[in-house]
Amino acid sequence: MTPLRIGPRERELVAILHPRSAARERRAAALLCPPLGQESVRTHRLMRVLAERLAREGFDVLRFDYFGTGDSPGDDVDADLDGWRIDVARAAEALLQASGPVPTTWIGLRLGATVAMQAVADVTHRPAAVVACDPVLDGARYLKALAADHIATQAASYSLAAWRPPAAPSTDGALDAVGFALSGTLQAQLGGLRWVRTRGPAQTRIVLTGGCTDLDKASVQTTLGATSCVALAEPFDWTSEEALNASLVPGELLAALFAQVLAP
Amino acid sequence: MTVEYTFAFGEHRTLVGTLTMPSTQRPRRFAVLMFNSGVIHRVGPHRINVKAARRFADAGIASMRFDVSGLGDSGSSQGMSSFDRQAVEDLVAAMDEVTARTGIDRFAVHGICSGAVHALAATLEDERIVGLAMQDGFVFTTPRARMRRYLLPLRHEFSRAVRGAMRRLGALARRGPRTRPVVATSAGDGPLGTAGYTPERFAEALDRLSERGTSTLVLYTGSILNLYNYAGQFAERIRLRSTVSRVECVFAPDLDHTLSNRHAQGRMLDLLERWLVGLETGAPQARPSVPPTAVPRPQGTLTRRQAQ
Repeated sequence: MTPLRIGPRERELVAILHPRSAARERRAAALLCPPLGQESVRTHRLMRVLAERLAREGFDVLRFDYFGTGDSPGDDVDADLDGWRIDVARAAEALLQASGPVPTTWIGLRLGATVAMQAVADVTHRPAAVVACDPVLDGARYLKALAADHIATQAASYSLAAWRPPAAPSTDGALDAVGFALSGTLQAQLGGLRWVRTRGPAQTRIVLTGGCTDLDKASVQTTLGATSCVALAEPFDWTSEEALNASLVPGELLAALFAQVLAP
Repeated sequence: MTVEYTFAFGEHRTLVGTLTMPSTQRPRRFAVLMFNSGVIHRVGPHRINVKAARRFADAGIASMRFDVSGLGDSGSSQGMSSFDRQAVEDLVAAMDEVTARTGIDRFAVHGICSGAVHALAATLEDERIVGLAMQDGFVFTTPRARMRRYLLPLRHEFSRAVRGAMRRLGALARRGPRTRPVVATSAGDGPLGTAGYTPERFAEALDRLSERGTSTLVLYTGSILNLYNYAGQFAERIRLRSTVSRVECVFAPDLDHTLSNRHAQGRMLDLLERWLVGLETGAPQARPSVPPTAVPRPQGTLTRRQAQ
C-alpha cells in the first residue's frame, strides 16, 4: 500500500496504490471511485478490503479522494460533479502510469458510480468495464434522501437534548448533509442530474444493495443498457454512523463487487 | 494557506499519515496529532480532522492526522502488542516522524471517544505531549446526572420518558437491589474501553499532567446526556488536588458526539483553536477551591424556550 498525491498542485488528490501481487500471472488494474460525504467515510473500509483482495488477484488498484473530499485538499464546498469527473480521469491516468496499459475496471459506489460512467468519455485508455453499485441516476431524489438522512442523524445524535442544530440553509447557500456541506453549485448539479435512457459505457455491470429503494433491477438495467445487474438481499445503510456500530464491510456486497470485477 | 504531505512512516513504514503545515508563517512550537476515533479513518468523523488541520494551520499550528495500525490506510502491526498498546506506540511513532520532518518536538493530542483512552495513555507516558484534549472519552456519572437523565426528556417527550422510566422500574423490580460500582465509561465503547479508570485514578492522572506542565481539555457533548448532563458534573466527580490546575472542562450540549452538523463542527474548531493557542502562552492557573469548569453559553442549552 503506497500513499500518493496525484494531479496538479492546485488540485492535488490523495490516493492509495495497492500494487498487484507478484505471485499472480494476471495483469489487470482497478480504479475505485468513492461516493459522497458520509457515504465515503462509511465505505472507506469496504474500499480498502476490496482493493487488497483485488491486489492479491493480480490487479494494480488505486483508491483516491476527489478534491474537497476525504483526505484530499479542498473544503467540502469545493466538491462539484464537473471537478470530480476531472479527478476520475486524473486518477485513471495515475493508475495507468503505475500498471501500464492493461485491462482496467472502474468500480464506483453511489455518486462515484455515476461520475465514473460519465468520465469514461474523458479518457483515452478506456476501462474494459465499469461496476456501478447503487448508482445515483436521479440527483434531485438523492438530495432529498440526503436531507432526510441528515434529519434522522440529528434526531439520533441529540436524542435527549432539547436543542437542535439550525435546519435552514446557511448564509453561504451550502446544505448540511450529514456533516458535510454541499455547495450551491453541487446542489444545482445534483438537481439537474437525471440519467434517462442514456446508455452507460460498454460493459456496465450493476450491483444493487437490498436497501436501495430508489432503483429497481429492471429499470436500472434498461436505463443504463447494463450488461448485467445483480440485486442483493442484504441492505446497506450508506449514511449511517460508524459510531452506531453499523456493518462496515458486508460480506455479500464485498463478494458481489469482487465477482463483478472478475467476471469475463 | 496550508501545505500538506501524505506519506508512510513508522518502523516498518506501515503507518499512513498526512502532515499539514502552515504556509504563510513560522509554525508554533508544538504540533497537533489527530487519529482514529472508533473505526473511522484518519479524516475523522465527518472529516473533522481535515477541517481542523486547515483551521490550525491558519493559526500557525502544524498537525498530523494518521491511522493507527490496522485502521484506515495503515497496515497491521508486525509486533505482538495489544491494540490499545499498539495505538500508544503508533502515537509515539507519529511524534518521532513529525520531529524528523519539521523539528517540532512538542505536541498536543486530540482524542475523540475511544481515541481519548489512547490519547491519555500516550500523554501519561510521553512528556513531549504538552496538551491533551479528550472529547466524550472518560465519563463519570453522579446521582444527580442519573436523575436528570430521566428528567431531560420530560421537557419535550413526556410520554416517551414515562414509558421508558416504567420499563426501567419494572426491570429494576424484577432484578432486585444491587450495588453498582462507579466506573468510567467511554461513550460508544462500553465500560471496558477505559482500562478501568476510577474517578480517583483519573483525577490523579490529570494532576500528574498538570504538575508536569501539560494542559488538559475535557469536553462533553450533547450526545451523551444519558451519562453527562450538567456543567458541574466533572468538578463534582473529579477531585483534583494539584496546587496548580491545567485542566479545563467544557460541557457543550449543542455539539454532538460525531459532530454531524456544521454548527457543531464550527463550535468544536473554535474551542480547540482557542485552547491550542492558549497552550503556548498560558501560565498555570492557581487552582480554585472548586476545579474550574468552563461553561460556555452555547446557542443551545437545555431549556424549553429554545426547544420551541
